[in-house]
Amino acid sequence: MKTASLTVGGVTVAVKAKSILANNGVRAKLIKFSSMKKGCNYGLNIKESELYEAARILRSAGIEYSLHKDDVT
Amino acid sequence: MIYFDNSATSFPKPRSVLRAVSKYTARLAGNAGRSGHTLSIKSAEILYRARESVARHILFDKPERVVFTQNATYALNMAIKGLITEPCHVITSNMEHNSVLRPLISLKEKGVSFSVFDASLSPDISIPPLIRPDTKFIVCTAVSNVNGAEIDIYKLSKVAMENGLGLILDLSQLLGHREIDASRLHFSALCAPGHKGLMGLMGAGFAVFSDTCSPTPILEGGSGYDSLNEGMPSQLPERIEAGTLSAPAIVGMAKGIEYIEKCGTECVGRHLAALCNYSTALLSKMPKIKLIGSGNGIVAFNVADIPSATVADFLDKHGICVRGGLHCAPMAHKTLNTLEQGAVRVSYSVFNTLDEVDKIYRLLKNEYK
Repeated sequence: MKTASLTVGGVTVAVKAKSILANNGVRAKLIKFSSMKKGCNYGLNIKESELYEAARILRSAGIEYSLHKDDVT
Repeated sequence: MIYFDNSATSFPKPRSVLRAVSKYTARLAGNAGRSGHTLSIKSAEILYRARESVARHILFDKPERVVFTQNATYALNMAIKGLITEPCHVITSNMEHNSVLRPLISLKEKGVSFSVFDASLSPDISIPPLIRPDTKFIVCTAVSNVNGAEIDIYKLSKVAMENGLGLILDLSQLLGHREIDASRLHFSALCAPGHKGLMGLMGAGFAVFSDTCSPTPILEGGSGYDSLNEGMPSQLPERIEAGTLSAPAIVGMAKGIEYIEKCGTECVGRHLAALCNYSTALLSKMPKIKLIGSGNGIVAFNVADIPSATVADFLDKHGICVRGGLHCAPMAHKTLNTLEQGAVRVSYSVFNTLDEVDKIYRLLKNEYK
């Protein structure tokens, strides 16, 4: 299954984001990204097919995110 | 033993609180927001639910703006020093605890001055005459920890809103027996401990910051993410929650909130009111007793001119825990004219009974005829 990841920042916002997505029918796994260049961030791993829907839901909820490009598998 | 010092910390704790803390510590206590492994993530989710519990309890809709601290004192310092960052004038009450007074005094060297309003008068009468062009904040307690006297926080909020002032509230002695509607409050920060009326363990408290506030960190350190940033990260709560949280205590606090809500917060309030009313009725029959105040589960009194600590010691020898002295609130005692003697403070919880109240007063009556 292809997945994609969104980074949101701290773990609190990540848990909030996961909860909002779950309430809107999008399952997400909370993960931590560690980068020696960018530092650590928390984010969500979701089905690639649900990426745009997830992004729309987070935008509506006022949660800023960025696409974690390296993790598209 | 009879425990009547719940304003210091509530005791005993509900069994559900102890079970929740024990379970968390034994099975789930990864460090939330530090690692990426299962236990750390689970712990983060548990703590987020605790933020939701606090937010829901006070009818606030943004759990991410619930910032955990180890107690109300830290929360008040975080709010006062994090929000009052420029020279200005502040208004506070004449019944404050040192957790409000000392931070304000410490800010004098940064050009912050403060005036004091009479807490016994309605805030819409006592505060406006003190407002100056450079007044920026009202900082005060909702309930005095000495005599239980209450300030109407909704009237305070109205005064703050009408005058464009920030409002930092100490809810230490109010939460747990009174429902609060934060959506009706024009506030900057609400601060409280988790270990008093909310029935959690010592080691947890919180500050809730409104949407309009961006508190400056008073502590810098590890935030669990954005480590390459030399400053603290921009997102709340991590921006001002440096270091490892006291997660077991936070779990306990969340369970304590659940316990109080199951009892019914207002029902707890009625129970405390009944204990206070019964106490004051008994006290009024004792000629040597000077009642200093009563309310919100607190009854303060003195026995003739006997130092309050002496009375507290006597009660302790008979297995009754109360607090004598100045209660870390010398300003309140100055207002009440009890600076020399202090006061004996009896403070109740949901677990105290009328029979226990009978016992303390029988002792006092027999000893101090």
